[in-house]
Amino acid sequence: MRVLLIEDEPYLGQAVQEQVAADGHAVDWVKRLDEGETALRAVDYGLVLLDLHLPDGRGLDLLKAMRRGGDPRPVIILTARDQISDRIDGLNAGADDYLVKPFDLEELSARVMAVSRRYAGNPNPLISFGEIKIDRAERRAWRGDKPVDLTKREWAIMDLLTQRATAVISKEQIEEALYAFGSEIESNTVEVHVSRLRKKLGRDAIQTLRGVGYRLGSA
Amino acid sequence: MTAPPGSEKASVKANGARAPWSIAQRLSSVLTLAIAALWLVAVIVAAAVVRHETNEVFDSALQETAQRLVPLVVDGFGEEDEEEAHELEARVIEENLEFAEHEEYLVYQVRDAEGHVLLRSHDAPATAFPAALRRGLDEADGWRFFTEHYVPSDLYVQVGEPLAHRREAVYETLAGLIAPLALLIPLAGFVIFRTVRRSLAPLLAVRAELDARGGANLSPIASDAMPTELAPIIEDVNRLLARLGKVLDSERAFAANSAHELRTPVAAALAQTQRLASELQGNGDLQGQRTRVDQIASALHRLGDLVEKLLQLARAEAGIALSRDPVDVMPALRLVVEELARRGGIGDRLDFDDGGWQTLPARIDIDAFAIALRNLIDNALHHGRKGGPVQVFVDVEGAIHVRNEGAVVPPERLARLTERFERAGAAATGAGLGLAIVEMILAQSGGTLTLHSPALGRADGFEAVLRLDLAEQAA
Repeated sequence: MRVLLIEDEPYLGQAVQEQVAADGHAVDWVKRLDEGETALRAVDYGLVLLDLHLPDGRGLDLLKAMRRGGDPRPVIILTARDQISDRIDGLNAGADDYLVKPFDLEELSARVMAVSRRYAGNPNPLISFGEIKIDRAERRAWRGDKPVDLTKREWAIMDLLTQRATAVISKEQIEEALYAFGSEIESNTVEVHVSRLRKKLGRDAIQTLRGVGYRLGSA
Repeated sequence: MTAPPGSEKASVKANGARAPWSIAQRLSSVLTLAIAALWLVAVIVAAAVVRHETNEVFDSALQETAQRLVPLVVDGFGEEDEEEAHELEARVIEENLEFAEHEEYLVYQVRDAEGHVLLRSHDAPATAFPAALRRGLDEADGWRFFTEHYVPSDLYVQVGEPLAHRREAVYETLAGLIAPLALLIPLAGFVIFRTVRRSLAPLLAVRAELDARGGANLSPIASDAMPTELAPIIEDVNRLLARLGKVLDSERAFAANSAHELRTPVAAALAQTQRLASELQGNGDLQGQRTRVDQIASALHRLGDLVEKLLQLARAEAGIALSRDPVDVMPALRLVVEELARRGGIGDRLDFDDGGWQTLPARIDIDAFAIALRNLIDNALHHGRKGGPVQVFVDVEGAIHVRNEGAVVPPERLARLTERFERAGAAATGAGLGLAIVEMILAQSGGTLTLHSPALGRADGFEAVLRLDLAEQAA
């Protein structure tokens, strides 16, 4: 999943970016509200982590603008505003969750996972198809009884494919998810990663729909 | 030293301020009494004047009558000698003339120099008047007389009038003046009371407005259409409100800013420390460093908690709980419980029962309420038996209970728990501010906090009961 972090405090932002990335998500980090708006227009993020107190405005205004514009992407507010009325305002404005600083990074990871599962329409972190089992919460995969190690980029692709079992994911969506890892995207980057995944999980684990995209194998 | 009940009250009354009094009542009663008194004085003065004037008029009438009678009476007696005159003694008017029956206010006698009655009007007594035979006014036996002397015949004409007659005239006049008083006093009282009440209406309106607004509403009172006596007071009050508002605003802004300024660096430090911890994880050579990093993280946690408590204290002292506008606290109640329940490791310990209350409208600031509730639940989780359940429930009266298991807190400790920097046990951690903050918030919002140990209906444990100033249940 690709995550947008809007946070102006450098040390906190860095740690949050590392933590969310360590969970296997690609994180774009911006420090201003206007940069956040631009990023939101350009990229199909799976989740936004939003600070409320930013140098060029209130994070809540961005959230309200998103919801007014019919943008349903999940938003978790990260804020020092701890009053219950702030929280109620945040949730009323359309936030999916609300974390008060200082927070534990593990808590953040758990909330990110919970919100992304809720949005993926698949709140069950355990997925199995064929002989493959995947625990999205713990980021572990098995082929039969044998654990399989996946890289961060491979997890990013699996996150997309497992959001809805029958969903077809386009090559562009996968490219976008991979882009945030900072790697150069060549014309065949997606194919390379998909073929590595097939090697680890089995030939039929991922189906190619020519000209359309990819989806989980039914077998 | 046991004082009888009520003695305290009595002494308070004796030493204390004067009993409250009402301007309207005082004005009405004083003005009504003053009007009645002045009226009475006026009546007394009028009585004296009327008496004097009546006497003058009546006396003048007596004198005039006597003088008018003299030529008539003298005609009848002529220059007759004394014998003849004696024969005529006691002659009465009606023997000569037939007059219509009438009551005589004035009667007269004609007497000779010896005092014999020669002629009298029919209502006059046959015996001589007790008045002296001397020209002028005289008064005797409740009568007033005027005597005129006809020198040529040495006859005296005496006109008499009972004093009762003129007294009656004076009394009737006085009665006419006093009688309206019976109607006038209540009427004046009523009119004065009405006028005073109406004049004081702006004052009552101001009072009602101040009553109606919550404590946090510091907007100025409208001072237009106020009487000139009241307007300056209202302006002063408005200035005071404005100043108070500014002070409270800046204190609240300070608390909010401090929240951001203090929490953000703690958050950054904690996050960086936890990243460091997870990077060190799995590296067996660096276990010593890992332990230290964990210690830093837990110190930062404590720092974060302390910052939170100090901010809560600052907010409570800035008077956030003074707002008394009714608000439904149920969403905040659920949110606080839900949020604490999600906190790692304690979620399954929290048990919430809303007691069937859909809404719980109370006169309290919602943030202040959440702070109070969070502190109580935090305390219960913290000081309750390790791993033991914490029950949060709303009873039939709408009071919020927070109950935990654990050893009984001795009464003398229980009484001191709401003091600042007082911890439930020497071993317990925490800033020791929680219950002091709760107490302060409830004092501002008109609620009460009672602490019970053992818990109500239990042998042990601890129970805090939060009674808010409940607004009527919305229909």
